[in-house]
Amino acid sequence: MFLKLLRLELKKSLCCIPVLLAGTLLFGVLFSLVGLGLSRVIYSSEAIARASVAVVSKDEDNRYIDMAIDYVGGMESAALALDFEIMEEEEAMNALSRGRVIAVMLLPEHVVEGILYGENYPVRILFSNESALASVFLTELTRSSMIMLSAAQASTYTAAELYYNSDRASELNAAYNDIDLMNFSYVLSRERLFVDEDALPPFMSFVATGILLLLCFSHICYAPALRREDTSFYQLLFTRQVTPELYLCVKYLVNTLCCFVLLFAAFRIAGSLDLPLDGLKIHMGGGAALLLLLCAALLTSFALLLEQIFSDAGAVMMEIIFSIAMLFAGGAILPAAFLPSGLLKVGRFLPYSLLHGEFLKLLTGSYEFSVLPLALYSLGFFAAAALLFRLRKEARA
Amino acid sequence: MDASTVNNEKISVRNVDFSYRKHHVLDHLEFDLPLGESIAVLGANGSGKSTLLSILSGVRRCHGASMEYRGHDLTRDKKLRNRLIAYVPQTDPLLPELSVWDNLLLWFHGPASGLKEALTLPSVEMLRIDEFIKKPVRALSGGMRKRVSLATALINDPQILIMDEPAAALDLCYKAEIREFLSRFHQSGKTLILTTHDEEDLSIITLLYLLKDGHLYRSPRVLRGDELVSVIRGDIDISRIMTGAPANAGDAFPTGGSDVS
Repeated sequence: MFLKLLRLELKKSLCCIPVLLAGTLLFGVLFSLVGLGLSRVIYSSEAIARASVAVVSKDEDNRYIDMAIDYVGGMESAALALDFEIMEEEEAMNALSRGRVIAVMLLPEHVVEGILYGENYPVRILFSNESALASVFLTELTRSSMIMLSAAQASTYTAAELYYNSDRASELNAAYNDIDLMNFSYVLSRERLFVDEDALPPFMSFVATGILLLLCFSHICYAPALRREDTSFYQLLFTRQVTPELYLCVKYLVNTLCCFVLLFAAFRIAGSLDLPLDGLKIHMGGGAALLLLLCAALLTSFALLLEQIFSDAGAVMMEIIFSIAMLFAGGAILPAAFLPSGLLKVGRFLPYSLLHGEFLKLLTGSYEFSVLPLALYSLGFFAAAALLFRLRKEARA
Repeated sequence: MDASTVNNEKISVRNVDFSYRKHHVLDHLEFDLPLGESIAVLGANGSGKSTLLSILSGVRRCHGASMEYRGHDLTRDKKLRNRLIAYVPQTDPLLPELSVWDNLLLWFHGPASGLKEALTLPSVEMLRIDEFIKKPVRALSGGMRKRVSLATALINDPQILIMDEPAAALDLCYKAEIREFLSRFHQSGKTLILTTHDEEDLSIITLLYLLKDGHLYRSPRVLRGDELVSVIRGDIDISRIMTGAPANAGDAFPTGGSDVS
């Protein structure tokens, strides 16, 4: 009887595969449309058309400022959305009030000299307070600038001290310009020397999120296979010495296996394609197979748990809501900088956020996976599903 | 009355006692099920009819109960019980995604190769399920599903068919069809035990039991109409109508259908 059940449950799952493939296609299209729509909402029309930042300098014709602006303007985060324009103060304030620029950077007079001599006149940044996105970028820029300037300042002081120590103080004034230019040129070119091979391209996180959401959504097509059977079916099983809990195990095992085979095949195909995604290196070793198996087990056990709590349609709806909520709280849908730190801390421990992190590793060719938390979650969900199943059965009795 | 009843073949059911928390629905029932009869167990809603049937069919465990048949206790000898008794629950115990064939195969005791032959059994053939055997169950009408449910029970050629509300949720045509089938099943010399709320079903019944306040009574005849309603509702003293006495009153329930007339 047990083998018959295994075979028929497998058949039931296989019956779902055409629906699953069609569903994956449909969800893929839907997901792309929703993603496109969301990106238009998040990056509102002005921001997506690039935002401008006004730079007001009291110094006239200061080439250090031009170099610094070129540098920050070339940074990845700034280049994504920001343009820096040098303006007069009045023009800049007008532009800020009209919303033409999202911020004004006020560079005080002799700012570079102040840095050189340790006066450190503060640079003021006025935000329009309309765009959280801009504030995130500019905060990063400000921090980067501080680090860059402090490094430049330290180098200049070091050079000056060397001149003093070698009794060449009289040459210092004449040498300052050369020192500063040399200093800046080295600082600016330094990024070419520090290439982080392991850094994830920013879009990779969204690729992982996309894949995971697609998996979650397409897994919903398995709902008929995971659905609770009629009570009478379990009653008859009982006459054949098969407890309902045992049948739940059969369901869990068979559907996990089916889902795993599909996932593995999909990743094999994706891995063999020469996808035009920079940094995508799908590794399909034993660790990756284990991760995909755990992913299948997690999706199945979570769906089984929801089936015990809600009606059929409710369980599907809840799977969608919980999947998105867990990924959102883990910073997988919106960049972490936009989320409250408390939410992020909690979110990082949620199963789908963990899965997202592991998927990122898989997509970038990492060989190391943290499978234990995922395994615990999967077993925990299944245990909770079995417990609820039992409680419901007793309640019905 | 057919040969098996004349031979006094019976299942002796003893000590059936069951409670749902504080509600004592079956109070130490002791009775005999005469084979070859068409038996209806009637009672008000919540009186324990379905519980009794589920215990008889082995769907529900009842500690301390025994069902003796030819020297075997069917509560222990599950293989024999499954061969002898088939149960059709009120709702259809089918997997809707699978075909009728697969559903039959699940409940068939033998290997897949033997199923084709089993489909030619007279009791199964009567159901005419070969018309839609390859269709998925979800594509079938309510009446067709009921026929498939019956077929899953009959595919192992049982001697006793236990049905909980055979005509529940079916339209008039399907009800008549199922009733016709059950009548023919009984006429083939097999035993039918059912619960029902439909008086029309009593037309195929030869023996009537009434379950009331945890006790089982046997009617000397198949009651109908107002008389039956009055007994179920309690307007008429049941002991004036029914012979036998509640098992826990110390008076053993008469064994064998022919003992009560």
